[in-house]
Amino acid sequence: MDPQSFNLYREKIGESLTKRLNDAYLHGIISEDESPIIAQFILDNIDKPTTHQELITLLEELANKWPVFGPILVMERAASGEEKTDEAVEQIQQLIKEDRIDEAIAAAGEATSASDKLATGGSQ
Amino acid sequence: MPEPGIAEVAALTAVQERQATAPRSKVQRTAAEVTRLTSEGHFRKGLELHANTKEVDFGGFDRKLAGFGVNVNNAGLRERTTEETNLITDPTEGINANKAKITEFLDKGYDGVPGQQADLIAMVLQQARRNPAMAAEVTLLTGPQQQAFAERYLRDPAFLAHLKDVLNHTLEGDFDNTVLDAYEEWQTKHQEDEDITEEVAEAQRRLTLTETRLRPFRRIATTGRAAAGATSAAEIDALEGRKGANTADVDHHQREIELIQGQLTQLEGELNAARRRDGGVGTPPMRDPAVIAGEYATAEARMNTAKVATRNNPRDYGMRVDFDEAQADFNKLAAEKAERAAVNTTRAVGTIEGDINTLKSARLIPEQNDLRTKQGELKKLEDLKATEKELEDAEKELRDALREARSRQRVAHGDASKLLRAYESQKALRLAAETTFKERVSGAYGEAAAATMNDVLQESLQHMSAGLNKLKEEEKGEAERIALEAIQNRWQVTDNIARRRGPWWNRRTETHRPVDKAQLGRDFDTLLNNGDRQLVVNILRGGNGRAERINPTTGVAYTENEINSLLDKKDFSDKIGGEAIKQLLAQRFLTSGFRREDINIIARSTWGAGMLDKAIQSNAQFRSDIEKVMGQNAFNRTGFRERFAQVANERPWLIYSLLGIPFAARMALEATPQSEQLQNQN
Repeated sequence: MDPQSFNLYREKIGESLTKRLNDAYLHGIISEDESPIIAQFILDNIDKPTTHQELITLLEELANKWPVFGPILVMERAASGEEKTDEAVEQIQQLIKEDRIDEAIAAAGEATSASDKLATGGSQ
Repeated sequence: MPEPGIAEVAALTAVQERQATAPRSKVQRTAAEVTRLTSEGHFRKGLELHANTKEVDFGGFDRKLAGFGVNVNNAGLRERTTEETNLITDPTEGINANKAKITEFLDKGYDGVPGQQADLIAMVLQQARRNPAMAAEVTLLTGPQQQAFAERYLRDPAFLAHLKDVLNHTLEGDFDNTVLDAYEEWQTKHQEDEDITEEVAEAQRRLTLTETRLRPFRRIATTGRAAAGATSAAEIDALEGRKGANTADVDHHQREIELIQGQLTQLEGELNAARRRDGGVGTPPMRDPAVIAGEYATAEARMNTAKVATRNNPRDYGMRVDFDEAQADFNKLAAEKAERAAVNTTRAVGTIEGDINTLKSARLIPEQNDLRTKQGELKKLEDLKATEKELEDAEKELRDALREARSRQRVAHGDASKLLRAYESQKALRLAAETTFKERVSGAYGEAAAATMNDVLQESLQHMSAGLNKLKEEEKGEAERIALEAIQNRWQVTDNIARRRGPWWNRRTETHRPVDKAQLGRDFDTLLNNGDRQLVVNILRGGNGRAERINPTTGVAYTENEINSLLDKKDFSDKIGGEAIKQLLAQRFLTSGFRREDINIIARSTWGAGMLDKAIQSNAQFRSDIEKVMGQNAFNRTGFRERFAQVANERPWLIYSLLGIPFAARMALEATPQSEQLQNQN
């Protein structure tokens, strides 16, 4: 990915994260106390990655700290071909469509965990 | 490039739907605004909006209070002292009470907290009195004016913003475990100290006991004699004195006893023989030796005869039997004869028994008793000496152990004391930090008011600086521009100072260059003592970390003569001298306030007169203020300066007006009805 395309991609991820944060804030999944901290974290870090892998690492960090970002991580991994759990992605998308956010986060957590196991040779 | 996920679409749709039904809550309003910003491509602004939604980190109260407790209970858990509990729960001054007040204020604003208003007004006035630039003015306000003055601050959004800022700084972080760690370190050493103390006590108890047991053995060091009451030592001495005799006696008695025992053995043999001789139950007495001897001789003769007959007739069995019988009889008699011969006593059993008893009772037993006595004394001497040695060894050993334990005890006690002091110190530090926290919470209003007032001062200073900038930009003369530049930098500290602002989740660093009060003070003194000419010379000459100004004509720093030549030109002197005085006084008065004498000096000094004249000529606001307060054309009347000094002492804001500080107008708004009119005219 050339630098210009990467910048556009990173902006897109930034938007996705903001929307996800905003949605979770609106649904009360993220408290009023937490949202400023998360927003500041994204603001402080979104411009740091210069490669796709660094961006995924940032998403992983976000999803670890706040599982609400799990679906974005799963979907970004799927989009970049890293994620093999297409079924899980579809399930997450369906759950979000049905406004079943808590279940979507849980499913994303499971998918992330399964993906991590695959990445480490299933030793965990 | 991945398309927007369903999550984003869903969130956007949800928010848009909610928007359609008119958002009501703060959450809904924020979410809607963030959605709008994000959909317009400004997600960072949306994030910033989120980052700024949290105004005060009230969770900090719980974090801070969780760290309260400088004592540690038996379970090793922190425990609050009464003082600490009071810091939190005091009904008027405690943290909880102040938190409740502040929360209510943030929620309802000044007008929604009638119960707090009197205190809040008093607090603002107190801060104003502490503020050099406001103190003089506030002191002159009437009660209602003071209330109006204070309420203007209390309703100012800047005050609210500062209050939140102060709270976030106060609530930032939490208390660490240093007190508990210090307690545990002390407790460990204290326990060691206690253990060693018990060890010392035990050694001391054992030593005392040993010393008590040794007391009967004590001797006078110089003479070696037994000490008074030292019974064992005296006994050892006595036994030692008899030891030689006793040893000899033991020898003698042992020999005597040996001898007696030999005699007894002999008598017992005789007794046994006599008893065999006399026979007993089932045993016949022995026969007379002469009878036995006669029968023995007959049997011997018969045996010899049969022996010969048998030899001559070896096949005669009857003769052989006769010989055997004769031989058996002979052997029997020979045995009886030998046995009878062995009994060599003729004495009666009773006699022998009497001799034995007499020998035992009269000789053996007394000898044995004497031997035991002597041996007993020798043994007692040995035992006493062994006991003494054993006790002395034990005493030495215990003394060594006690010395060693006491040495360890001193070290442990010293360490424990040191750690106790460290713990006490940590307690004091923590208590001080907790008290500071409580005071910052209770002083949050005051701090916010001071910061808001400082904003006003900063605004005024910036106004002065902006005026100077404008002058500089409009100035055509190079020397004048250089001088104005020097004036502008004269009273700022030489280096930028970084200051961290904002709550912990939204920290930012700002730099600023505060006013250098020390330089202001020095230059103010120069102005009072040496006049404005010397002030300008000093400004251009630099010093105290400030650069000398370069003469554009010579390309090197201005000399004093060159500066004086510039000041000899009226235009330069009026413009630069006047500006230097104005800026110096404005900054000095805004940051340090002014006194009655300062007003008198302004009115009576040459440079003050010049400044007044210039203000009357060019400062319409000042002219208008003077006319409102002192009457139409007051500045044209004789004695105007003296009257101005009198009036300005009663209305200090006129000094700010004289200097062209907008702050004067703001202060005047609350000061007098006339000044309110003045403000309205603007």
